[in-house]
Formats: sequence, structure tokens, C-alpha cells
Amino acid sequence: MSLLEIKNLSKIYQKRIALNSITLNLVSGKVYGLLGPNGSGKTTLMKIIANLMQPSSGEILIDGKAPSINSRNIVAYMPTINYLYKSMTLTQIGLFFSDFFNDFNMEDYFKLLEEMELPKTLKVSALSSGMSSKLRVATTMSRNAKIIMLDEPLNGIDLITRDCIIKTIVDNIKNNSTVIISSHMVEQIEPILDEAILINSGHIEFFGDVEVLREQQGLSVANKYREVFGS
Amino acid sequence: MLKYDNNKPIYYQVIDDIKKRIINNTFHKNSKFPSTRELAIEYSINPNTAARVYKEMELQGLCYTKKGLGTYLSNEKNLTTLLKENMSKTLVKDFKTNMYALGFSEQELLELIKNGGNNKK
Repeated sequence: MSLLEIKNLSKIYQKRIALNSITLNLVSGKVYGLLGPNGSGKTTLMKIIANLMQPSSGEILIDGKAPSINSRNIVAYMPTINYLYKSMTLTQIGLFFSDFFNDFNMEDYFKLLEEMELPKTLKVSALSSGMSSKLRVATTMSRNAKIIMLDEPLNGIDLITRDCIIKTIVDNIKNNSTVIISSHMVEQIEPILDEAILINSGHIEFFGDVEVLREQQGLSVANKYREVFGS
Repeated sequence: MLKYDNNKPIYYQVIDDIKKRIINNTFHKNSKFPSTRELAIEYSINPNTAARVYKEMELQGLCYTKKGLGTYLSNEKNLTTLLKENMSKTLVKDFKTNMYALGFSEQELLELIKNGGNNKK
């Protein structure tokens, strides 16, 4: 059964069309890659799913219900910007999250900090950009949410940290959760995807199983991306 | 970490790697395979792909599943010898096809292998 049903969803900013009548059905237990150039509508789509933004028209159902304050309890969203309070220590960040979200698991959080070599006594202000990316992934993946969305988790991060983040994501995919990852690093992210969603100017250009793509067309997601977006 | 050719199915490439590791005894412990979750983490692949790897290997008769216990190496006798034979056959066949395409004769190939890739006399 679909966990996330999106029907003819559109979003218009003043005169610019960000999403143009998108229809998607996402099921639980799969990892989706939301891939497309800058300004293609990836973040807008995630924000609407996270109930941080209202669509201009169309329908969206999360586990059968429209997005609301309540749906935020089953949707974990990691935005691209650094939104954590700088004066808090990493332990305080964990307490802050567990205050907000019932599904936040403090044990998982501490385990992740340890695996990612982030000392919990440090303050957010003392973190490098790579460390703060790891921290944001840790806070999001410590929630036992039905839908987990990571917006650009690999942006501006060195190779070793990227490997670490990818391993953390794989290790923390809960059995029945749906994971949506947006990224420009198509080659890096594609081994962990079940399905790829290629989006451009608010249109879905391709939506399909990545192993079927490789088997039937002999194409990697990256090459499909080039085929769709290249000139 | 295994470097993938993303143009080929990932599960295929993982199976090939596991076969090599079965041959040199570096994959299973007392004939038990890692769990699919462990496999996913080790190869940095999607957990569904990891499950598919074992399903395909089971179809190929390389392993079997014990309900609730995990995946085990097939009991078949001479399994590693058979695997080794099959894999080397494919490798040699591919090598020959490619070398013939470059215009080498079988005799030249043999010479080349003996001289460690250096065909200058």
C-alpha cells in the first residue's frame, strides 16, 4: 500500500511554477532518490510533504491523511540549512529533539554520535561543516519515523565523511520506513537507492527501479540523468 | 568498499565479489553468511538489494536459508572447486574474446602470458 500519495500537486511562487502537477505513489520499505538540477523543485516537494509549506493545488496523502501538525510526528525532514542552536551541546540537541518528537531515540542518537566520532560534550558552534552535516543526519536518523527525508545530505562534504554518512543511512533504514534522499551526487548515492525520481522544472521526467534500469537499459542512474538533463 | 560499475546491476557485482570470497574463505564463518543487514552495511548497498543478493544466490544453489537463523553456504561437495572453475572459465573466455578482437593469435596469447604481459623479445 502507498504510504505517500501525491496527485496533481502544484506549487506556484508568485509567477514561477516550482511544481507542475506532480503525481507520485511511494510505498514503505523503499529508498527513493529525488534527483534533479538546482531549482527543479526537490526542496519544495519535501517541504510540502513535511507540512512546512502549502501546495497551490492538488492532493497529498500521508498514510491516508492530509499533511498536518499530526503528520509531522511520522515525517522526519532534514533541511539543507543548519537549523540547530549554536550554543547547545550535542547532548542538549538530543534532549531538545526528544522533547519535540516522541519517536526520537536517545540511545540510537548517542550510538550514532559515537560511530560518527562526534563528542557529545561539544557545542554546535565548535563543529566543522562536515561534522555539522553528520550531526544533522544523526538527529534525523534517530527518529523512528515512517517517512525520512534527507535534503542534500552529501553537499559540500569530503569523500571520507560522505562514505560515513552513506553507511549511517544504510545502517539506519528502519524496516518499514520510506526514505527520500535528494542529491546532486548521483554516482555516490545510487548504490543505496531502490528507485530514482528525476525531476526538472517541476516535472517528473523519470521514475523507476534503478536495478531494472541497469538490467534492461544498461544505464546507471547517473547516465540516465545525463540522458534526461544533458543537452 | 567495492567500487561499482553503476551501469550494471549492483546485485550482480556483489554476487561476483562474494563468490570470490567464498573461494578464498573470507566471507562465511562456519558456513554462516552475514545477515542481509550486515551485508547492506558492508557493501554500502540498499537493504532490499542485499536481500536480493541472497535470493539470487539461493536460486543458483550457492546457499540456503534456515528460517529465523540466517543464510548458510550450500552443503554441496566441491562447491568452491566448482565456483573456481566456473569463474575462471568466464574470465578466460572474456580475456580471449577481447584479445582476439585486438588481433592476437592463440600462440601469441600463450607467449604473452608466459612473458608476463611483455611481448618484446
